[in-house]
Amino acid sequence: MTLLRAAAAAARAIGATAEEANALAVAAVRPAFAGSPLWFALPPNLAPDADAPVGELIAWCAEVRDGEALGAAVGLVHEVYAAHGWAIAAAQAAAGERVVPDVADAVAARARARFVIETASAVAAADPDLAALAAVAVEPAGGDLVRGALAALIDTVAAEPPIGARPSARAEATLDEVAALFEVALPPAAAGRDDASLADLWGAVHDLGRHPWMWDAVAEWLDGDPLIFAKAIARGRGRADVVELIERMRHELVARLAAAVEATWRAEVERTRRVAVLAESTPLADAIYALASTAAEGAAVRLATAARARWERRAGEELATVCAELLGDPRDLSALWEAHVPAIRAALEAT
Amino acid sequence: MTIEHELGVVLALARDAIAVPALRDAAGHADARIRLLAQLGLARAGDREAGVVEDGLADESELACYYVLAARAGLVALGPTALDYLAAQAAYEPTPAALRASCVWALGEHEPRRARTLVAALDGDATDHFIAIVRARGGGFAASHGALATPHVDRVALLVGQDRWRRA
Repeated sequence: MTLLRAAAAAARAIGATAEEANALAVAAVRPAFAGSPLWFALPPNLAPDADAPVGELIAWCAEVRDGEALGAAVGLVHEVYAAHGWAIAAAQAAAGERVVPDVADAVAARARARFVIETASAVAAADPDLAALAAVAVEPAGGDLVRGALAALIDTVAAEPPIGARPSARAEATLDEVAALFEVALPPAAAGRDDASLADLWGAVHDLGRHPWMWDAVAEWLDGDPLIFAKAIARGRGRADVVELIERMRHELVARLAAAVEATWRAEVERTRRVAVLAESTPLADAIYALASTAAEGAAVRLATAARARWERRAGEELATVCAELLGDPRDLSALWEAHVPAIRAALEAT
Repeated sequence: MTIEHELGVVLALARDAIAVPALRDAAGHADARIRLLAQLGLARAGDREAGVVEDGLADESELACYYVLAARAGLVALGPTALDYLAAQAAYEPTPAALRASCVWALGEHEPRRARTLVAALDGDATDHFIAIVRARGGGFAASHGALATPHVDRVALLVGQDRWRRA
């Protein structure tokens, strides 16, 4: 654990409860860092983009007012250290005269992979984001399920004996009955044209299964009601039994489709996690990422300690000064990384 | 008449806010007559809770209940899906003319432009029902249709009570 270890260290430094520590850790997660649209199912991060001018980042961190904002700042520092050159500069300082090869992308990839592994369980537990699944070209779930249910609906209704009743006359008669109960005098209803044929229904239901199955169709089934017109036909024809059948089928189908989508979501998150687990790295990239990780944890503690002092109006390091140091030149903060000097030098020797 | 029906009639006639919670519960009853009484009672009590109407527009199976739901739909704030239900029922030509007209009227209270297209698609009999509805309930089409002659009467408006359609 790396980012979450830094978040936990910050939580301890402010004396957070377990619940507050959890909220701080959630706030530390920066979905965009994963590089996968799936991660945007997580809550958005409060902190600025790590590519923003450093003065802007320092100013933002210096204003953290609560545990969640502190979590966001910890996430920001972790990303700056691991993937925006800070750790590379620290490694160069640790290496002394020896030039560190260009491994910035490899270190960032290592950090990203670790981040994906750390946060995958939270993403898997989040509500599936269908747009994200579409963006990563996952095959839409449930197409055959829906087509099968539509075919079964057509089959079931086709097997029903035709009903000869005149729907509008029946409805008007019901209103007359109720009017009598209310002692309201209703003028007679006009005779309407009545036809209980369901011929239009087949076409409407068939059309729903005719098109290629896409994620927007899944979303329409889960969040909307593609059977609006089918029900209007059955209702308009006075077939209450068919409206009820359609509605029952829809509820069952939506439950099964939602389960299929969740399974697809979890499988895709797990696939992304496995890719991260299997991602190759180099000893030097590993060593520099370890430096970044340790430094981020140390930075989190300093940041949290200064923030707590400010929140409790106690004497302590000035938060703005701490933020400027933590996001400034790593050569001025050797205490955060000097324990990694031997490992960096050993990795360079092995390169 | 069962005790439930009797109770439904009493509640529906109450025209009192105190009956509204019980009527809302009854709107989901398995018996269509109870549902009808509940919707009538809510209309007569002037209930403006949209959820009960939206749920009914989605899954009500009985035409008679839908007559009252469509009438109520013009008086409550509905979401887009509920308006789609109204539009679908209004657009389906074999729907009983009085119900088509009522759905168009309700839609017109929310989306006049969309309703105008549907009004233009109504056949002669449905247009006559639409005029009867506008004459009884008023609303957005009162200026264009409220003074036209029609052989029909808005039976649902009479059942609910004419005063329910008068707006502040």
